[in-house]
Amino acid sequence: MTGIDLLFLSMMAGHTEQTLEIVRLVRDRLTDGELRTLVAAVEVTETDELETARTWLAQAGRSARADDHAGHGTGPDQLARLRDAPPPHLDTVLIEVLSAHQQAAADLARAHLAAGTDERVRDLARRVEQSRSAQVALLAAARPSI
Amino acid sequence: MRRRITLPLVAAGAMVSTLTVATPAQAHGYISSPPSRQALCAQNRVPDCGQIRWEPQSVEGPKGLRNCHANISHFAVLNDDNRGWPATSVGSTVTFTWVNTAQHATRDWEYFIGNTRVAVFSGGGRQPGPTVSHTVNLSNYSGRQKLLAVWNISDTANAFYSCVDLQIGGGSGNPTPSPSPTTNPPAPSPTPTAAPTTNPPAGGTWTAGRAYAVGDQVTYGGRTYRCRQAHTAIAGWEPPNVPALWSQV
Repeated sequence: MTGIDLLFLSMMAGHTEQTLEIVRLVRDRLTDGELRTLVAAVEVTETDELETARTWLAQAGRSARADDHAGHGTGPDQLARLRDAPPPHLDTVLIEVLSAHQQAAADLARAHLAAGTDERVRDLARRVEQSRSAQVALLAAARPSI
Repeated sequence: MRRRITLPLVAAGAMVSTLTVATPAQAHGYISSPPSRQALCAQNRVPDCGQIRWEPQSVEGPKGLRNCHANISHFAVLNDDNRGWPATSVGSTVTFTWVNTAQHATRDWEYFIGNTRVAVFSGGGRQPGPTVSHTVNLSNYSGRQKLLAVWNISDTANAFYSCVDLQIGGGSGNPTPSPSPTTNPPAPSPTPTAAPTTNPPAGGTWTAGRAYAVGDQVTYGGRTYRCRQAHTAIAGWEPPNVPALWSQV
């Protein structure tokens, strides 16, 4: 792996840590059943992806440090909105916040597909680009009952 | 809604300059496509670049510089035009993509060829996402050109610098270095339809868009998988790629 692959993995790890933070903030309080199902699947798949990214970084002698991600991704104000939203409104807030967050991941992955060198990392980027884009579409189609 | 985090960011921005030596990986942004000189180093396409190979995003210096290395001595290789930087062949308009590892509030992005500013894009003082793309018209130029791109931060005195070597327009003798194995992601072959199995398992072929429940069985790539967690199937979540959702039977 080259430096450009490791940088992508480090950024992706930071972004995925935030996804898990978002998901764990809301998963027990969502109203819509399909949204709960999607969020649960996002949690388990991204937990595995994060493990993969951390393993590759460690093998390359690099760790994904939290301070690599300062100022990156979804801001504390967005997390506060999720924390504070009452259940009837939470679904709508989550759709908004998670859509933007996953779109950013898709964009990052697409950029790496144009620049990355390692085939395994490019394959991960391809799957990230596809899955996050599809999730954004599912979120756009989700219609919270309230 | 982003306005609320302006104050903490000012504080974070102030910290960055003092922490840069301790944690260089903290900074900040570079052009990944077409590959900038630091991207070429990070891709190992240009060898012996030194430390920039590990932190192409770190070419930070005061605003107003017009070189490729922001006057940082250990990045001086970036300003050496005799390193055989491969030029990317482009047409008359070029889309530049920045990858930002920290999303500083942005004054603007400027693009220069020689002393001419060929494009500027306002940042409005807002934080950009982890990637930013700009399309620049270079129809007044042809042949090999060194373009300097500058990301001007709005809440610090600093900017980030990326030089991109371009071969503009067709025809010139410079061989085209393919910038990366594939510019477009290869079409996923989502469902390598299984060869007709003599014994088709229940559940059919994995299909994106279908909702699966725990215990459902599908075939994918000639193998059978059982659903471990309810979900709607999407591209990128093919059974062999997501063991959290599917286990092979």
